[in-house]
Amino acid sequence: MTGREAAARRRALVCVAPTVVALGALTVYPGIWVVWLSLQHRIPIFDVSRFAGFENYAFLAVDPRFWSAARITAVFTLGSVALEVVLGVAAALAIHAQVRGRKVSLSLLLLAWAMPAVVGAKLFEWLYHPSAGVINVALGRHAINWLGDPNVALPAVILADVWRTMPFVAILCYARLLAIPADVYEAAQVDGAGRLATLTRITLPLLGRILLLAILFRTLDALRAFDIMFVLTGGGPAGATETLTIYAYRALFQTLQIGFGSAVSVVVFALVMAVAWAYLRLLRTGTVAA
Amino acid sequence: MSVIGRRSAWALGLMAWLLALGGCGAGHERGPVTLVFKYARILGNADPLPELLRAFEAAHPDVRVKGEALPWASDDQHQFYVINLEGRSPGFDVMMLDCIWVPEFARAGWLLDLTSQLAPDELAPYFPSAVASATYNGRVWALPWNFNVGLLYYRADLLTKYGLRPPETFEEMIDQVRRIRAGERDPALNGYVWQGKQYEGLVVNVLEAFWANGTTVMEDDGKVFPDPARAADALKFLRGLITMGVSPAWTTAADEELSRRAFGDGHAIFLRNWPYAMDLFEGQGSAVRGKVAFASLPGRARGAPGVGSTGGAHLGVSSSCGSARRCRGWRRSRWRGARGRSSRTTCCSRPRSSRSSRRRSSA
Repeated sequence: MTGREAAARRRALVCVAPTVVALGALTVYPGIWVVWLSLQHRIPIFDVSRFAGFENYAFLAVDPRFWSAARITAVFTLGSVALEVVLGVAAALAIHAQVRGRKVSLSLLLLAWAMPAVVGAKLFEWLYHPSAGVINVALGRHAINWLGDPNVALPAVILADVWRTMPFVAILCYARLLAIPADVYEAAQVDGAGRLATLTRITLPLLGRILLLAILFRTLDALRAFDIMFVLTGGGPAGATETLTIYAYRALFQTLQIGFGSAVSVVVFALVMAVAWAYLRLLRTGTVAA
Repeated sequence: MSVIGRRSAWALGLMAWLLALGGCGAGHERGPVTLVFKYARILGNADPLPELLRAFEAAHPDVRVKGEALPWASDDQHQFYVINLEGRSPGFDVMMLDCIWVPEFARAGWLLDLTSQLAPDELAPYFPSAVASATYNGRVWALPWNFNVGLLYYRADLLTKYGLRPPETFEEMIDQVRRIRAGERDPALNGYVWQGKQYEGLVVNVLEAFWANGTTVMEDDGKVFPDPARAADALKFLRGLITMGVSPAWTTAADEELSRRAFGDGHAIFLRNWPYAMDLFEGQGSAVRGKVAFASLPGRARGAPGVGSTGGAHLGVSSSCGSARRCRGWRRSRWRGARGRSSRTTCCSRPRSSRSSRRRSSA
């Protein structure tokens, strides 16, 4: 390349350097440090600090609490994402079918997504309040012990999460719906397709790719979800809502086992990376036409 | 790159770097020393701390105190302290510690050893259990400040109405609950509310249940669960309170505030809580104003007498405190301030206990 181009390149590198250094310091370095910590037994208040190899991971493999947390994470992720997709698509279709007032509907929908997760969680904490919460007051005599019953706590947390994140899926689908040309539907009508057939044979396949993207985002977020269950139940009655992230947090900051907590964090990281990789492969091979 | 000249681009970059670096680590300023004091917001109608801090500043013009509040939940404070103290540059100097953390933080090396600064009889006026929880390995690591004990609050009006005295045993209490509920016929009236959510408060309630049943978690010689059968029985009893309906189903989601509100709205006969609640019950507009009294927690019929867990807060100094002179000055002054002002932070205004509270050391 010419001298001018080389100089421009050098300048570009210099401008990018602060960002790269900052990102490296804030993400790569702590990431490597956490992996290093996970290979040690480190408990500061007992002056324990020694290399332990894979002992932490070996313990996790047989730890019932870890497997319980993994199961709850899986249930939460699957339940939350499934509900979000179904309700999100339904909401997008409903708004798309509206003739007037779309802006109002969209604004109301986005209100839930715009709220910080912790604020949404606090909101639901009050809704789920056993005696003064709106839901139980409305239910009267049939009041449900939302956050105190181990069987109801996880569904309650899933509901709170779906309320907050469904608009994300809805907005993505709505934007895609707007891009579908009207003559596709006209042609379907001419061919005699009913509403259900239009929905299943035309609309949903066309939404397919964007839905996959939305599911990718939502799955990764749900696997890492922390604030909603931390605020609502703190891990739940008898660990009924303790996900892997909560387990990692408790191990790290409550029991102060830095090495062990780091091991759990690394497992969460590996899980998220594995899921992301699987999804990206799916997207790349292109299961549906764009 | 022809729009921004080469030189000005470099200058901009350099400026950005310098600002970023210079922003960290502000040097010590001359003049009055500023100390940061981390405390948990004291629940209740009047927070006495800002007043106390201003009085301290007036008495010691060379020290300014910046009070920063933490969430009131003990677990949240613990996590905040651990995250910051483990990082060795906490950004605060004096902290309000729950009494159970002092040995933990002392062992981790996060607290300043105060033993050398104390006069021989300095700690004599304090409760022995408070001093014991501030001591570790024979050295004093924090100064006792607030003292808390678990109490049984009860609706004096309801008990008097049915000619009952505050229960000495849980079995008696259950019987009283049945009688009062049968008489009142109020479906919204709960019997005994306590803290059963999965957090630090549950540990306190369970410990009190153990002690009332005559057993403990760990003996002095270090043996864990010396009497597992009694411990299991205590837990079964607590669970039984919920399944029997004496305590509401939402007990497993209840913390201090939730249970306090239920009782304060008139929906419970008995409540287990800390002394702070009394001020709130006696406050303006309270539904139970003038109707609440407290007593010691009941025991079990064949167990030990009831015992309330001692709680409370101590004041500790971070070991990574900047200059020794600052720390010494602070400690001496603060501690005098704490002694003189301890009565103002007492939470009970006009305690109406029908039996003198037996505060057994159970820390």
